[in-house]
Amino acid sequence: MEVTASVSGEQVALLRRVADGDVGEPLAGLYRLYGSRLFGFGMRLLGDRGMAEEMVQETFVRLWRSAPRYDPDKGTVKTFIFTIARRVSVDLLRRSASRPLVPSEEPIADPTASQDFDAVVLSLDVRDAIEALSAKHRTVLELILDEDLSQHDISERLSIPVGTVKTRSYYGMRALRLELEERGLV
Amino acid sequence: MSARELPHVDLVSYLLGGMEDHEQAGVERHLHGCPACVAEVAELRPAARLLGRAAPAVALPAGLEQRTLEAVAAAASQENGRAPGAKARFERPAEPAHRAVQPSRRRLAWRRPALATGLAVALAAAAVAGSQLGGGDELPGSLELDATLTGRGGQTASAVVQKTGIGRVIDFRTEALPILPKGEYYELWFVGPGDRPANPNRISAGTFHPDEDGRSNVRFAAAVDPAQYPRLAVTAEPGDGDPAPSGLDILRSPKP
Repeated sequence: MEVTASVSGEQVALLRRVADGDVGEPLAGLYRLYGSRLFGFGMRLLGDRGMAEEMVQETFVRLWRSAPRYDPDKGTVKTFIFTIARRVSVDLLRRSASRPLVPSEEPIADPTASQDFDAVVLSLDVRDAIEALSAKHRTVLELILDEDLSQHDISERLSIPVGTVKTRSYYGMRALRLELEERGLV
Repeated sequence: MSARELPHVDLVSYLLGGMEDHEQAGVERHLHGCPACVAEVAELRPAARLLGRAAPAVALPAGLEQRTLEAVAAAASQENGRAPGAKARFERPAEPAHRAVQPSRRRLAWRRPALATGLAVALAAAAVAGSQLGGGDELPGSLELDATLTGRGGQTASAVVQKTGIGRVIDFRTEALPILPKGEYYELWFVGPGDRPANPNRISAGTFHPDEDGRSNVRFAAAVDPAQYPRLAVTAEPGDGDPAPSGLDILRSPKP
């Protein structure tokens, strides 16, 4: 897909600049692309905000170290980054296993299980696509999905006509499809 | 119906399962006679299916981007064997060091909300902490704190905190600190307002071991802002893996 290939090419270019020793803008660019998803990944796998933050930071440190070894023929930048994140998560879980820890939320996935790993990454990609929508589109779709509200209910909640709810939900879905397409998910 | 016009029926609620049975039946009757809407359903259905698999929204910790980038820059500086500089470009070691996540007290402290919530801390401090320097190498940056720490037994230490292009560097020296039992070590802390043993408000800058004469000459890297954590303290910590400060301060700088 052309759009996806273009996005992927930009990410490869960023990672190559990191590999060349630039820990400034290209690394910040990769953080903006993946920081939120990585933190969500950490929350899902580790169940603790402190550990999730630590995971994000350590993932980027290891990304800097590993950047010269990245081969675009073997996988996408996203796969490369999340593979590092998974390894960091496993290290953190091994470490915490020998120490008392009261997580704020129970981890819901096992980072060593590839099925869980893929499912978590997919769910984060979808969340990332939702977050890329305009607030108007996102709000309507989330009210339908998360609160199971009818369009009439949403109309009352947001104080907008039902026709506007229909318009926003439809164009929101179309926009979401494009965002998912850009990420190679549909 | 063109793709850019609204569909004839509410396909979004239909796809997301937000319809009563009779409404859904009505849409399905419409679809039997409307190829355009059928095509629209086919196009949107994958997105609708994925929408239900979305991870919950998570609020990112404030300042995480800055702390992450500082952690990388600090690691890059440390692995190049020189102090952090203003230029964000670094040479990587020929063989990348595979530094596993270590159970450092420095990092574990983040898991304690009382110690860690919302604080700007550099991850790489643990990697730098405890490195004994030969001394004498000057750092680029601006002076933020020059403190003398004193103890009840007359021991003294000095700390100079400089802000560099990528974080803070603390040059720390001690004189005549008692030798601790095997397995214990000293830990330097940035102390904030309201810090109490029962409710600590401090961030570890790292750990260190003095030489046989109780002298230390250590450089730490961190991102703690001395304006928010203006005092420094040193504790003796057992090697029990507990990140919390374990006892009374052995050395402490005066209130600003």
